[in-house]
Amino acid sequence: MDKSNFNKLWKKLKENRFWCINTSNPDEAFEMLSKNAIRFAKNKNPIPNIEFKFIKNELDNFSYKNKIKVLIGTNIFFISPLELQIAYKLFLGSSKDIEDARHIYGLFKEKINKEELTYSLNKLNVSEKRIFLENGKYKKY
Amino acid sequence: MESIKNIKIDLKELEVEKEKNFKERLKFIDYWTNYIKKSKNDSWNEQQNLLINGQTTNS
Repeated sequence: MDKSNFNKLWKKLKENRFWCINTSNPDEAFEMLSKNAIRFAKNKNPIPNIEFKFIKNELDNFSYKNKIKVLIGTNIFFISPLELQIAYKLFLGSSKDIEDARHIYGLFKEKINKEELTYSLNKLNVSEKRIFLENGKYKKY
Repeated sequence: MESIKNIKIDLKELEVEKEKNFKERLKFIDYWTNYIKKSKNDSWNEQQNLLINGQTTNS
């Protein structure tokens, strides 16, 4: 996304009562985005909020190209592939991330592509953490 | 859906991103705790309620 498109997005977000938690200056926000994620919240309330970041590597690009459409009521948003979400959570590796990975796996295991999950775990070098996903199996973090 | 097996992943780069992301999250926690300290109870209470109730409704 170039600066001009970012400014359009900034304007539209503002019009819809969203604000950037990191800075009130769009130039600064654009500058920050080149290095980090920035957060937007609505109606002056800091939570809930959403993180925005640029696509920076092949993994980001893969997530974007293979995004899943989620419908909540009449609202639509997109999430990254579940197999990758699980593997990435295990890669992040905190207790909470492992719990999140197990939660996602537990909810969607009938729909998850097991082969793709195996590839994702291998790619992120976290295959040995697969044991954390299985119901009834426990291991110390 | 495209398979992840065909993409190249730089694990060192991802480790750097992980560290950056962690620091960013810690910063937000600092921001949020400062906000709570500076705001009236009703204000942040209402926001947490909205968040928690939203999660309950969607579960």
